[in-house]
Amino acid sequence: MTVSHSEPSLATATRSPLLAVTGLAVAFEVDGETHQAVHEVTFELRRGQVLALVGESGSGKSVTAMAALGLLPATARVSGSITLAGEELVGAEPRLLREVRGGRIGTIFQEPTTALNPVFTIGDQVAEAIRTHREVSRRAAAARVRELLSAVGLNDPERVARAHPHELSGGQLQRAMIAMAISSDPLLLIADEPTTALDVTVQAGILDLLRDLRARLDMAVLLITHDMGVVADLADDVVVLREGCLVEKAPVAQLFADPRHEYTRALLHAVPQLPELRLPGAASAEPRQPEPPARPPSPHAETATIDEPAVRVRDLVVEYPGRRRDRRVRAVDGVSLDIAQGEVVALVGESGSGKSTIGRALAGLVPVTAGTVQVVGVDVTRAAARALHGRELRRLRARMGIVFQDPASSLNPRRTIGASIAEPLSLHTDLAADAQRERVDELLEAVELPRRMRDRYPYEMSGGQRQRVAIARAIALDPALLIADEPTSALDVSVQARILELFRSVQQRFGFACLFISHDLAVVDQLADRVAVLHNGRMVEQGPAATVLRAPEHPYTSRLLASAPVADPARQAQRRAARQRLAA
Amino acid sequence: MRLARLISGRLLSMLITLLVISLLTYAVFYLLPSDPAQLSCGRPCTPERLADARAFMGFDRSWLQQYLGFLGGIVAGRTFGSGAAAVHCAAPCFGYSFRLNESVTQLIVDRIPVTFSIAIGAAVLWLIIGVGAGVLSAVRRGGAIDRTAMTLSTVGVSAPSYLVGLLGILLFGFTLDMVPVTGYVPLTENPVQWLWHLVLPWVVLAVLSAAVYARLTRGQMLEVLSEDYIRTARAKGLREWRVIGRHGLRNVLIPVVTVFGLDLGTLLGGAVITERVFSMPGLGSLLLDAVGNIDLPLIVGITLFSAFLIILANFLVDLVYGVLDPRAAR
Amino acid sequence: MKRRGVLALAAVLALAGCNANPDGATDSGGSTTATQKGGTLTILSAASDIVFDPAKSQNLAITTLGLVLRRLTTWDVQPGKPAQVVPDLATDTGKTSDGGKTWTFTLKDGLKYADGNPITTADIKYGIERSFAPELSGGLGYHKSLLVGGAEYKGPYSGSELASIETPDPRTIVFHLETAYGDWPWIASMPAFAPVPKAKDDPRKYAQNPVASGPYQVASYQQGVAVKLSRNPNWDATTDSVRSGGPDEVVFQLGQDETVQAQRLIADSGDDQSAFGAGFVPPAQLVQVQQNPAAKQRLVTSDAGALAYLAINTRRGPLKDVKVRQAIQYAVDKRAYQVASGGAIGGELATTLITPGIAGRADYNLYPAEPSGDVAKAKQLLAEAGQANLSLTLLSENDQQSLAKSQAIQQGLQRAGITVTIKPVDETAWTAEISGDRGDYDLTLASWQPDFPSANGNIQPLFASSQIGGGGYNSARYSQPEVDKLIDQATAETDPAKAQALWAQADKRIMQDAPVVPLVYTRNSFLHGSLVQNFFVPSFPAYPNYLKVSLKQR
Repeated sequence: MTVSHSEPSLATATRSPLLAVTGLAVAFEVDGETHQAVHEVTFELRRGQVLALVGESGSGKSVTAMAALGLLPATARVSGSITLAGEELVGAEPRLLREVRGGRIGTIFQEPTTALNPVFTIGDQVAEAIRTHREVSRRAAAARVRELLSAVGLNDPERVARAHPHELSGGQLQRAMIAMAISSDPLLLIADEPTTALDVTVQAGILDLLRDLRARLDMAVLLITHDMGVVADLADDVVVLREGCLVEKAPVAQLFADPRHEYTRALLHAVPQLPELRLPGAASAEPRQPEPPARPPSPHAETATIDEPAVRVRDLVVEYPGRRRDRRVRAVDGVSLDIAQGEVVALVGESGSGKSTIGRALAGLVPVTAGTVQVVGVDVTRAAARALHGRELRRLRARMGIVFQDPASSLNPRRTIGASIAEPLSLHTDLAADAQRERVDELLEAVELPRRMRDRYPYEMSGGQRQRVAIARAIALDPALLIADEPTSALDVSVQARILELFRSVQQRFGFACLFISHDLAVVDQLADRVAVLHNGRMVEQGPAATVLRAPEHPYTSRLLASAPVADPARQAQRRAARQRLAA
Repeated sequence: MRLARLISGRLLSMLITLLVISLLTYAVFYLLPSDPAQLSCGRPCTPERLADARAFMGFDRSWLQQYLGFLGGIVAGRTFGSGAAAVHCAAPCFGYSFRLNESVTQLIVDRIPVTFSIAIGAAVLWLIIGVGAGVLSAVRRGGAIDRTAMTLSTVGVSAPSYLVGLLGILLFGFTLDMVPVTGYVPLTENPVQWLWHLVLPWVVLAVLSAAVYARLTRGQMLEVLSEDYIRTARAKGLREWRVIGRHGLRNVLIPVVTVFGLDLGTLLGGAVITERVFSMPGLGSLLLDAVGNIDLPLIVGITLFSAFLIILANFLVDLVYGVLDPRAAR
Repeated sequence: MKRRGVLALAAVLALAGCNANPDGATDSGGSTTATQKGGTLTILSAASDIVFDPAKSQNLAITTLGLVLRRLTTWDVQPGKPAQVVPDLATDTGKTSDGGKTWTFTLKDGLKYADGNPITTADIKYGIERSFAPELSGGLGYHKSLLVGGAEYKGPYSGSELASIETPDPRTIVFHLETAYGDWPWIASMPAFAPVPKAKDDPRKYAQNPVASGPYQVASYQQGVAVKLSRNPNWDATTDSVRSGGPDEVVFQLGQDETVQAQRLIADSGDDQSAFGAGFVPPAQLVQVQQNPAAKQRLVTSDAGALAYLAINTRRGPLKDVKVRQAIQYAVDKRAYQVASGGAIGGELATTLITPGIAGRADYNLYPAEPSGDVAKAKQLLAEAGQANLSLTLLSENDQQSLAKSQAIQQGLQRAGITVTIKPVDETAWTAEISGDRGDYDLTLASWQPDFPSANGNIQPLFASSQIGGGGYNSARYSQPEVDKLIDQATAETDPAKAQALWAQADKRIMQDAPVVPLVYTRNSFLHGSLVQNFFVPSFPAYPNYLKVSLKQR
């Protein structure tokens, strides 16, 4: 039975859709209340095609995919129809669903580091998938595992098969996940945010792999993503979802060129654009785009240069104790960096590049192994060493604001927003209660939150609102330096766009210097005066944002820039070609 | 090679820990107001007779000298008294109980089969019951099994073991007359009777401990079931029992094994209350007896042995942990 | 030698290993019937081991050791009668030629050990000598300071003999004492006066494998599990007036929890029908037994037992004043104390120091009052003494029962305006405090039972000035030269009637000074199976007479 279904005739495959979702509705019942997660969604997917389900968080895109697998929690009510090669999946027998899962539909998920069981080897887990759907011997399964692992571009399949998940990188794990997903030659691959947790250079490789597999195995791919760049890179057709409703459905070129729906347009508009890339040897690879409007330089930037810089880092080295006592891990290796007063400097790099460590060293949160770190003229290294007395460090912290990636975990859930914002005021100033109140109102206004929000608790707010609160708190003491560590990477793109807008206006109004840490080059381009690129703890390039992001000197920077997908299918195709030339 | 180095390193630290514990035990009991020699002085006790008894038992020397003598005995054995009545305690001599006229080493060795029989049987039973109930409760969360198991485990966690043991004896021993109520029959003597006498203590101990394990397992399982890799396992098309039994349980067992190792280690050092209720001559009743009679050498010996078992259990747990959780292995 | 000539014939119950105060009484004393032979008697014991080495044993003459070992003299204990000293191996209870300093005993004819060898006086001498060895300390050693040269003697293992014991022939033994001692016939009933053949003496193993002279011998010994006794074929019943040798076998089951013991005996099934418990029935099971007519028939309670009393530290501030101490006699609520001890079943109200069942006891009451006390009288005495608002500390053991009893005392004294603060400490700390030299307490609760039936044991250890501190049990720290003189006189008296009169006199004289408040004579309760016969508990010692117990044959 399995075999007959997995080999549908070519005729039917081309004529009728492989996956047909018709009038799908999903509702969750929580504490007697019904929450409609998906409303009447209809779309089709043919063999060899990539359909992207696009939307922000809460749009219902993952729920739709899980409904196809029958993996929604027991509280879900599903109606409508999902057919795979003509067979109904909604309300299907558990037996059929088990055959479908992993057999006819392979699935890969967002976070490869948690999607694989930590206690079993990769080989075990892939072999388990094979033996679930086919009666093959252990040895045959093991051989097939090696084959699959090398098919997904893992160049030491033997070692990878024997490895446990914690011994591999995110990219390797995602490739292993893909190997597992395609192990039973599925008709359909569901890729749920397959590259979101990965660095751009790794992401590019995974996207290449998916494209290649689709062609080689003639699979259909249901791609779930929030990233318009990824859509542009991979999809044939796009379905845009918003709050469970289908907003627009179009071929990819049409959608980007001529979005019909207002929401799609807004979504595309919110995506930060990377500047045109002039790569050595590929100077005219891309058609000319209108130059982005030149950012007026920060008003304080010029005047500041005469004064002492807000930050002066010289030959910074930070080491962590490694797993073995005699090996120390060098997270930051001889980095020097200046930030002038009022200047925004972006620190760019992939995970493990040391960018966050530098931010923490500035805040005196990690011990410095060698080199000096001065913030507004105070030696942080010395102050941190005397942390027990701590007065100097406390004074220093009062001149410094920090915004972290996840606002949910950096705000105390048991304190009101007003109290959270006022906290640095009561710690570091002698302001009276009403003066504090006044200042909190002022700050709420600065981050464009209504004053009544002051009595709310973090859980009553959205992610974007919480990040506004975090910014308000960080600037409460009118800091000389703001450290922002990936402040928008947990947010949806439309929210991100607004937060970046706010960030820019606040920075211009208060004129603080800023160390902006990010992996997203497009975001950096919108905000930074200067950019410093880190790779493996070393600074590979730094300079004015316009120069570094448009005409990089260092090959790593070029690779980084070329790997970032842009939200334009035509441009992205060219960039991809350029990147592949670069790699070759 | 690496394992050998790991083990030898751990052995050294175990040895040091045991030395410290023995020193502390010695110091603590030396500082107690009671005089062990007083008890073996007889009635009436004159200061002269007391001094004689002290000298014979070696309690007349400073506690540090006594401690060094104790350490020496482990290596080379010791002799107490002199002439025809002298007693020799062969190496490894962990002291000599003058009350029982036997070396502490021998006393402990004699009692080990009893306590180990009780502890290992009960541990296996409670692990099966506890983990089984915990898994079922987690999988059928909020269902009848879950509610029943968790209610029972609340009772089990808070019930005093002495009372439960007594109730067990009254119900199964007297009222139903199903099992013998007290005593221990060596395995080597009569395996059937051995089993028959141990059933009730096992069940009583297991029921009480299983409650803790059921709660632990349930909580861990609920956490694990929400992990991404469980979703992956389901998306592979695995049967639900395989998802839970292989992918879930293996991860649940990691914390359970840690607790289990220490519990078993502690229990092997003497199931004091259970042994008492069921009149089993194990290490626990030996310790109870030693404390009641201020039998200092025996108290120190059993304390050390218990500490050794717990440290050993800790070590074994670490080894097993390395097998169960590849992240912990270096 | 500080405590020379002193006999501490009493034991703190706690130290003797008796763990609970007795409770309840229904079938007082038990009953006797003709002895039937045969069967296996099971004795349930909480102890993990039995010490059969006579040098190390503290056994009463009528319990375990008495089944295996005979001594020169022994006790004849009958229901409702005071205990008497009677000959055992000897033909009489000893003769003195010089007013109690030299004592001569003669052995009965044809006595043999279990191995068939004859019992000689040399073996008795050797048995006593080895009790002096530090290696074998721990037994009842009253003879050690009485025998001439005993203080310096260190036992036979270093090769020396004790010259003050003479054995002119295998059937005669002569003891030379430092001072006249009227109770020596009682001393000769101590475990150490059992014969030990030198050839069979292995000091390490003798405790498990003694050479039997009584009706039974040790057949097997499993430490912590069980001890089995079988008949001694060479025991001759005609030479033994106190042992009936009923059962064919006696099995001690060791390490038995008291509660489980009681439950087994209540259930009375199978082999447990031929069993009795060596320990007191715990309070909860005592209540259970009262509601179970079948089990109630098998409960045996002593008429009296140890004396429970409140000791008043006569060396502390206002307590030095006899008027204040007398006020406390009236202020104490004995009824409340009795209730805290388990009610009338737990003990009978006490007024004297010598306990019931001890020959020569005279009943009297110097401070007559209602059982709940006479508060007005107490207040009046306090006023006469000029003591208002007394505040005292009561040293108490920290277990539930002791604390309940302490609270009964506290509430009683409160009525007379005496504030009592209870200071709870654990058992060992309590013992150290009351027998130590410091004596930092005002009041404390204690209880006593003599080791053998002489008033000497009621009076001397508690009230002789030599017994204050240094390990002695004079917890009232009472010192009265007149009383010390009476004690010396009574100790030396060889005429039992005269000695008894002197002890009774001392009893009353002490109570005039009111150093302690007698509270109750505690009662001990024991359970036995339905086939057990001739099971009785006398007033002294308040334990079953193992030597007479027999089994009903079906």
